[in-house]
Amino acid sequence: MRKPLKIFVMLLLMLSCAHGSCLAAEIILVVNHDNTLAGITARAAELIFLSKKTEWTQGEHIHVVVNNDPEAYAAFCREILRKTPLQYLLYRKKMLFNGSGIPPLVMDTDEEVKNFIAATRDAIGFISKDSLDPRVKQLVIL
Amino acid sequence: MRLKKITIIVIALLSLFLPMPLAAFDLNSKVQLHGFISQGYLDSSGNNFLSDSLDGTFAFNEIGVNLNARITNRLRLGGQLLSRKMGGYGDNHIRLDWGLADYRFQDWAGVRLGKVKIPMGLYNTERDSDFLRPMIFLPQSIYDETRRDTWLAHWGGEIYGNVAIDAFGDFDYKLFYGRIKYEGDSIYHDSTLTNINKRLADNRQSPHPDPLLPPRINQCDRDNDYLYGASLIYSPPIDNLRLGISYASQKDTSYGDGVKIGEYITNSYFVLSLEYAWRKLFFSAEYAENDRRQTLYDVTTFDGPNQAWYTMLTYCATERLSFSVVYDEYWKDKHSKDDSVHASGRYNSTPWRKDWGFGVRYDATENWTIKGEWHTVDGTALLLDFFNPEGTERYWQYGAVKVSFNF
Repeated sequence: MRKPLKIFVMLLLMLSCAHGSCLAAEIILVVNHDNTLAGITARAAELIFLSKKTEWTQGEHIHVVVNNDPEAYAAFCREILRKTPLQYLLYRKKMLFNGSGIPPLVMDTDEEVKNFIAATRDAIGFISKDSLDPRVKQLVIL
Repeated sequence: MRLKKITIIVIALLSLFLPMPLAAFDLNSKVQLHGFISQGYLDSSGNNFLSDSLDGTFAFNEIGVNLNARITNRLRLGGQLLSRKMGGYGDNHIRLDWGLADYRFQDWAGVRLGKVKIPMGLYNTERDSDFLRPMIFLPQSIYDETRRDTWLAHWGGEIYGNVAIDAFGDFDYKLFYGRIKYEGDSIYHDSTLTNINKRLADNRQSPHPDPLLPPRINQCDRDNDYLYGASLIYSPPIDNLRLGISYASQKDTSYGDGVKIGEYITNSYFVLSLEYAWRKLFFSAEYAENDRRQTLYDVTTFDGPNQAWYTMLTYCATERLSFSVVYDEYWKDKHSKDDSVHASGRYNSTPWRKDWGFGVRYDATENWTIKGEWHTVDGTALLLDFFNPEGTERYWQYGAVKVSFNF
């Protein structure tokens, strides 16, 4: 067997027992209570989280936060962006490493997201539906 | 030299001991520091590819660090330093990969000034970041690795924006103008010098040598007179489908020992692109033609379009493990697919490159990626005589493994 082929086959064997997982959760979009918007189309939400839409209708800069909680993140990617978690992660990294922009802030838990949004007037994020509380306002997906 | 080594060691230590998520170095919402490091092994049989790869080489790495600062909601400053080694080239010198000021007037209109990536095809802007793509090597017909040093970024600017139309999806556009600064230590530079001297040697040995030509040159330089172009990527209201078209034109002037000796003009270079992800499958295909003309000592060494295309299919077996297969084809001359003469003047009976590649990628964590691939190739187009002074073989293979860390 030729050398490059040997290396490739060995690598395949090394990785043959890798596994993945599938997580499920129901998520909602949340904004600050001062945000006058009640709802948003799924398409607009997608554009916001892909950093293609950066301003609210009145011209304020949108502060986007990505929730890195595994269940919420996977559900958001699947339901809103219709991407896999890895696809969205690579999308954000591309933006960063090719010089085209700064990707959204990342926070690890629903609590962190809610605290950030409660303190930031023009912010948007997503959390598990179960953790909605009065600190933030749900943004209905139209 | 010392600074270079210290930088490499510091980044290597960071990569080993600080496996942090993407946002871990976000000092706040306004300043972000990120980076990556990758180390590969390249091997080949039949021909040397990009280096003395017949013996196998670990001289195959990249290290990058970038800093972005949001000055205002509309203004961003950012830059990335890159150090790389590919065989005898790069030598881990630190250089500016990209560095720019970005002002976004509206979502549909912004401007970037500085050293800006050239947006040809879907993937040219991210070539330095190995972990962003399914396989180690992008399809060589369009993303020729020997031109990577010279075809990655330009000094100038671009106007860009996103136009979203609810029922029709959205359009990302870029219009760019600038100049490429060619480095004196690139593979392309040294290959060009070798080719010119081979042609001059042929002249000396011909029955009727041109007495006006020098016997050889010791130094060659290339200046880019201009580069301009545009790219448009359309995301229709079909999930995960992207269609793109990009175009560029450029003119270079070549100098031998300080005297003008020729020109290289890209009359038109276009790439048509398609990318689609469906469930566990990811498909991409691109088609390109580069209509170029090169003159050397008043002789046209080639004139006409090449032809390049590839299709790649990736199957994501799990969220972390994917397998890819690519077929990549290149013809030096679209209109003449028979024998041709290489830039060095050497006769080439196989001026094409048909490459079947098979790859595997495993994302151990969000930050660690390991990839491996194997290619079998028919044809010697795009191979540099420079690395194969004893001649080339029509059928050859190459393979690589690479580990990357990014934060």
